Amino acid sequence: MITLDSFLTGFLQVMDVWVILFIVLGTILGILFGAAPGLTASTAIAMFLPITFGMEANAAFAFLLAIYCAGLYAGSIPAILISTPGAPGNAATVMDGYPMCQSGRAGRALTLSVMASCIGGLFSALCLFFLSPVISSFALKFGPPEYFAISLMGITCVASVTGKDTIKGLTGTLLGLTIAMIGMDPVSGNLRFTFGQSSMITGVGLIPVLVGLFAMPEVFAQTENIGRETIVKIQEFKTDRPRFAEYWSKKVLLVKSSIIGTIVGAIPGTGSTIASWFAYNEAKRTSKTPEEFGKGSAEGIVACESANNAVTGGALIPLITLGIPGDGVAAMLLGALTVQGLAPGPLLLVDHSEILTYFLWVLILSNILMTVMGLYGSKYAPKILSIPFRYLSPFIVVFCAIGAYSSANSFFDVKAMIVLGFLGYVLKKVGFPAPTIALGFVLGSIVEFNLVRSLIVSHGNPLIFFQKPVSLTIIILTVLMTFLMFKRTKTS
Amino acid sequence: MKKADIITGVVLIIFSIFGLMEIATWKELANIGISIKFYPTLIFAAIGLCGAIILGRAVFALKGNTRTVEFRWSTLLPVAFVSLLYAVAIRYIGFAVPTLLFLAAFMYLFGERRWKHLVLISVLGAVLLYIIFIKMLAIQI
Repeated sequence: MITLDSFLTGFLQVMDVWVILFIVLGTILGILFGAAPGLTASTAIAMFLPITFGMEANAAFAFLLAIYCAGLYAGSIPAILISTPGAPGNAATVMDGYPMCQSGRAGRALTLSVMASCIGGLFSALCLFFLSPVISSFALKFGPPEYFAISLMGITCVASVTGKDTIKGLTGTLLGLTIAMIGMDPVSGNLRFTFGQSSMITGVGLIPVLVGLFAMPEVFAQTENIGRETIVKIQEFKTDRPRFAEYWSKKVLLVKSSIIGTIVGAIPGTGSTIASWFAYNEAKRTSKTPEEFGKGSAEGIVACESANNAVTGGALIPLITLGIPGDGVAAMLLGALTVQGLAPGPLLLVDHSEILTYFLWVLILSNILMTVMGLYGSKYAPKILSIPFRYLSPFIVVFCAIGAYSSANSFFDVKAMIVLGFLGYVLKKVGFPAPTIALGFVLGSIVEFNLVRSLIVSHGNPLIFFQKPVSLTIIILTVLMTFLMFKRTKTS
Repeated sequence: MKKADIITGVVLIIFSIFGLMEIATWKELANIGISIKFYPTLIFAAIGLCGAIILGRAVFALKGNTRTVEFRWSTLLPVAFVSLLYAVAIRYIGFAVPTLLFLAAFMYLFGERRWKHLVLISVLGAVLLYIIFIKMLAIQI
């Protein structure tokens, strides 16, 4: 239960020198990775996650959350300056950001982007704080059928909205579930798909899978550009000063887009790409000047970026309350929580109520720092965008290798990470998005354990999932949401 | 994409058959109320079904997709091989030397040809990484 004491405790925990230092470092790294070509916030978190194993829990979470916030925003910088989004979630920003830059207003576009990102991020942080206790107390009553239904919702959402092909999305998720089966059966203890190898008894680790699927494919993808690098030319610009009146006049748009980002972020498997396009389409639909969209509309940039960063708080809601990550980055944060001895789920807020207020203050501070650095640091963006990938690539691999090794002191994990990275790249090329495989892997143990337990309790009767009211409701919502998301994705 | 989808569909079906054959060899060690083969069979059957759908769509051109999939194997395979070699080398040789060589080799594969850059960045990088990971973070590698 959240009390004033836990609220103040969370604040005091943030006011620690090392925590603030790591928030600053995380913000800088998030901006660098988000803005740099070929890298994303996911890559940064995958690379630096293993480094946090030896850190104190507070500093570790502050570091990773700061990277997350700043990284999601910073992808808008190349989107605006060179029409190349830093991450898929910033693709919608290109629509109006680049035309605004081409008309000589790059500084204004960058300012709109960072301010909208800050507002969206702060809004979702508050939603995380107020909604999580409510959801958590409700989830305490969940049994195996309800948990199975929730994880099934996550899987079907992932499959239906990630990528352009639902069948391939579903197959990716099934492949993730298959990888999760390697090792010991969680119910019977039977060894599966180990082929006599002792190193495979404990299965494939979470960190090697996430690092392999999120960071390594980016490296392999850049092999396509070897010998074909282009020199990026960016015009000089000055960042505009933000004016309160401008954002106040767009308050309805900001709140609406932030709500879209928070809700979409809270649905497992969706993420910032869906959120930003939803918000953009909605802004255009309700705008008094829809003809300006696509030609440098300020509303277009504000809608995309506030929804994009509102995903940060939203994705943490199901992670903290149910133990189900809202997106790929949240899946990695699940790994961070587990390593630090904190089991995400409804009991997390019962046993560690101060963690929610701590996350709130970290997100507030991260968004403020991100805004300051974005406003005053954007002028260095051309330098970041011109870093050749051939200097970054080997360091990414070394970081990933050490990260995969340090999770369980196993060289098998390093090899598994590289093999999975290669497979992830090949599968991505033929239309299987990496997030589907990663989320399938993360949800695999939850799905199997709760499905088998439910069937054991019901003596093999599958109707148990429809006889429990909460489980039935979740299944109906899943079908409805999947249909709506599928329809909207196709329309978009 | 059609050719890629046909290959993908066939591979998924073969993978599914392999999985189901492996599952068939398992023995039920204890009666827990539900077969240990139930869940894995469900997953592999679903993979086989998805593979069949992808294959069928590609063969009968039900889903129009003219995008071609191209791999630059000439650059991809050396990078993948060197990465795997590095993973093996750090196990048997240690961290410092393989990392130094790997940094240089990787930059070379990615197109860096100035030897001064190759030497300087790989030496400085290896030293920095050694200090951070082995000394400061005490990773036992």
